[in-house]
Amino acid sequence: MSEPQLKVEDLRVAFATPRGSVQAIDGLNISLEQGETLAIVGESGSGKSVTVRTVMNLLPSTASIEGNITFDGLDLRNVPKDRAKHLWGVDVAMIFQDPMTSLNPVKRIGSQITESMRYHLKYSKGQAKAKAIELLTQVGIPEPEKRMRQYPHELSGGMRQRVVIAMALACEPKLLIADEPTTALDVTVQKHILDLLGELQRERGMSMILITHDLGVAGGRADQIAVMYAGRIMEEAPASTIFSSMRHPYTEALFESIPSVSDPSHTRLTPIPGRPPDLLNLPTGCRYAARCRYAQVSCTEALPSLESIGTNHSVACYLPVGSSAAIDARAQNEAAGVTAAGLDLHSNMEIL
Amino acid sequence: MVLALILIAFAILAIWVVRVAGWRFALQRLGGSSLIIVLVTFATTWLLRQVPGDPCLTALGTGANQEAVDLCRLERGLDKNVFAQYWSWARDVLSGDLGFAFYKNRETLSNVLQARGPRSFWLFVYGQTIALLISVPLGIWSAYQANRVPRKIPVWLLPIFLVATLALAITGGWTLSAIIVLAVLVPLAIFYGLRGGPAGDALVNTSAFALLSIPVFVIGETFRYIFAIERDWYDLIGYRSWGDGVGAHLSSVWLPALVLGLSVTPVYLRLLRSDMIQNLQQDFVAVAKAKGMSNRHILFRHVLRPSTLTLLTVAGLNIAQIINGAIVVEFIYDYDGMGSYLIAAVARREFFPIQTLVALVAALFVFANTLIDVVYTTVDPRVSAGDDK
Amino acid sequence: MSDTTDPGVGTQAFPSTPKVPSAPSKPIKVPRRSGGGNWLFRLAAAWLIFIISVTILFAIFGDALPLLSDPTLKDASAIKQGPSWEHPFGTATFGQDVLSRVVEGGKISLFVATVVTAIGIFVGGAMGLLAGYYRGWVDTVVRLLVNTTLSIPALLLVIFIVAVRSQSLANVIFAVTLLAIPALARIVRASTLQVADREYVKAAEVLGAKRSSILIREVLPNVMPTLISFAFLTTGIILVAESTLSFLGLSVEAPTITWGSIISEGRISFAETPHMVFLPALVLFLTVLSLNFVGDQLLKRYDIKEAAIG
Repeated sequence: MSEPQLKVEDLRVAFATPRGSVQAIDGLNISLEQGETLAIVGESGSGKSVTVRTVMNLLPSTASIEGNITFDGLDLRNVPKDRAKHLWGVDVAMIFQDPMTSLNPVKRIGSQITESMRYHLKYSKGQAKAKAIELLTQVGIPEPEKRMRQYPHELSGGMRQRVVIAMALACEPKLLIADEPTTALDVTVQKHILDLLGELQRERGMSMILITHDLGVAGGRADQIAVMYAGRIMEEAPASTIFSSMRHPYTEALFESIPSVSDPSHTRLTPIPGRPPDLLNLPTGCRYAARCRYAQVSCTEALPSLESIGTNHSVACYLPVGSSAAIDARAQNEAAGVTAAGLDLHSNMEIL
Repeated sequence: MVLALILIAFAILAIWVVRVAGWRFALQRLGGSSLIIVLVTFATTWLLRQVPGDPCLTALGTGANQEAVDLCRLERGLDKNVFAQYWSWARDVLSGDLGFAFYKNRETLSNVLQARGPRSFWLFVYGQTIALLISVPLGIWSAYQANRVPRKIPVWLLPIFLVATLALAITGGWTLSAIIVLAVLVPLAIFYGLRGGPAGDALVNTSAFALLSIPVFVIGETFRYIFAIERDWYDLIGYRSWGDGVGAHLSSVWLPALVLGLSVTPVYLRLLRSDMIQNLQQDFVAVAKAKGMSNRHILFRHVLRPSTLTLLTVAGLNIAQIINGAIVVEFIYDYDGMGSYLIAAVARREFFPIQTLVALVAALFVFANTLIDVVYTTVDPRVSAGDDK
Repeated sequence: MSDTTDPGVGTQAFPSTPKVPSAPSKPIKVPRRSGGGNWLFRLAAAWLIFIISVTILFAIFGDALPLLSDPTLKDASAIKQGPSWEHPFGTATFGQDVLSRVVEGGKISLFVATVVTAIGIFVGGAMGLLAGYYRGWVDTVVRLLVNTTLSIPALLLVIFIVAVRSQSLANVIFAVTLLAIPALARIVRASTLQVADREYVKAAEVLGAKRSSILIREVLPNVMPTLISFAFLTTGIILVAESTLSFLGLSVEAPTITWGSIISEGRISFAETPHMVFLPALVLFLTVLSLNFVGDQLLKRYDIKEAAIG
């Protein structure tokens, strides 16, 4: 097996805030093979956006970063200056969450798409324009010549996101990062955009990191899925196995909170009790312990590390779902009505 | 002549507005501005009747004979009600007769405007130019530095410095300590400021804030003391026109223009800075960064343009502030423009020309603002498309 | 809690070896946000607030202080002297103590500024609130009045009014108030428009509360921060306006002393009496700076965007 295209090792990111240091990412490892799709799934505040922003070199000056990020054998945290000038936006590109604010309102669509080609690839005006029109056609925008002269506010949300995608693809990136590309869009448009992304990825052989809070979205479109919680990866597995043999209680809880078509029509969805931990003041043990129905005393004492348990499958839990220890632990907690971390198993519906 | 030019300008503006924004908008804007102009001029007419006693009597002096006073009252419509008085004033002004500047020597206001108007105009132009030349680069630099990695400042220096200054002040006198404060603290602040980062931004922003709190006349007097009294870098000999040579012209206006410019600089600077900082936090800036565009490209091509639009609006509203400043500056430097004429006219209790002048300035101001509004409409695609508010 | 069986997960053989806990994650070092800047800032704030209180206290209780003498007391032996221990601010044209004159002048200047701001807040605030909340014809009238007044450069308007009426204290206050009211009305109106658009106001309307009570209970409290912030800024502006007027010789006539009149007296023989210009100017500057600072900080604290208001 060759060296992966993107490798993140033991990444730690903290932000200085007036109230103290926020530990946004804590010991994160990712590796992504050429042409693959990795989905990072998690609630808001789990650090998934910070992860990709670190890769994109977009973090504000208040962030402190530790760890290694390697892309194509290049140490992304110490790129030589001349290489850095034409790396982000060329080899690695990114699509943002909200197409309404991703485009500069006072610049024409055309100039926003062509500017990176003109800057990085030194295209002439004509070349860049021709390429931009081609890109707009590829992302499914009708009348591309006309759109080039328009301003962002003249386009709908879905159209704008297509423009943003065209913008990101302008310099033929090897890795595309999509940060919740459909969250801000209408449900009807979401599927189109996701399909478009998959299609473009296949055509171009790009790798992709897809960030989403929706396990369902990740399922059909990713090769590998990483579930993040409070700055750490809880479980990582191939998309094909994660649904059938999830091991982490958090993954299990996430899965239970997704509605399924096969469920009877009035099936109650199971919410996850409690709320994510305060990143200013993290607990000593497992980050999920306070919300976990399996939690034992050991869970609150030390942080479990991410251990491999099968092909590409790893989990960070002392009591992986399905193990006999977990079954015992849960039975014990159910009987007591409260977990070792203090979660009341019977009244948590009222909490929410 | 002046009036003809104003009318032509108005016509051009009207045609342009109609072309750019359509009839409805044009009528709304022009109608609104005209109404305000009428109201303002009417108010000035009405205020004129508030003069204790009789403005004609005041204008002609107590020794004037009854016949002259009656003639003046008739000319000015003072014997009728306020509407008739307004009508006679408006009719005269619209036909180009601005009346007399100084009643007794029968100098007309048009003559005064022709002689002194250009002087005030150039002062205004230079002041505005200086203000923009200082505030735009500094504002951009400041906004850019605000987002950079902070650099450490040796804060512990400050208490040591304060104690040392205090000790000096007690032993060596206030003058010496003041000189040392200026000699050490100011270069230190500039040194740390120029190294960039938020400290640089703080330096610029704090200076602007301080400057904003200094009244124009204090800046003016300070500069007069430094440049015209202590040294003779500026001669208080009054205005020289372009005809007297570029050097003479510039040396006769540079100090008043600088003071006027400095007085409005902080307004522009702070506005541009805060607007740019706000824009720098927008998503589209992160997108441009993710596209790998250089900081310079992002700053000038993405952020500056929307901020310029804001600056434009404020520059328009600021015309009033510059006129205020110009009155004071002209008074301080005996600069014989419209501002010092105004003060002189007030001192002589010549109310008729003042009333006309106030009305004209108000009209000019409303006109300029309408113009800027329309420019704004054409430049900002978000507004021009009609999806405003 | 539901007791659904875990989907798709059987009790298969599972390596249940207890895992070795990973090394406790060490928090990484983060530099402080603004390396001591906050400390400096607090110092500056405390100092400026100190200045403003000293100025006000001096203006009120100045007479009782030992350093001061009768501001009109002429002393032929000490004419146009620079600062000394006896006369910290030097002496004026006829040997009067400048510090005493500054204190005396401060009374008038601060009085005018306070009264004008108070009237401006009440009248302008009421106009802005009514226009912003009731809209309709009230709004049209207020907007027209505001736009008309603000379309004349402020100083020009004040000069005209003071010139036309006589230069008495009442007329100066009247003229400057005429300036403060529309400016504040405009700000309050803009702020009211924003507040009136918020959900809790809409909710109260839907619930059928009386509009007048919504205005007082929901809108007013939320407009207050803006109003208070601008009260400080306005006081500073009025202080400058009044000083400028007296500097130009158009404010309250002599023998009444104001800060501007001391400065304008000093500028006549500038080379001999720079202290009569610079020291009162410094007091004026520090007072205005402090007022602006407090106003600006309040604006920041309540996150009021000046651009959005203006």
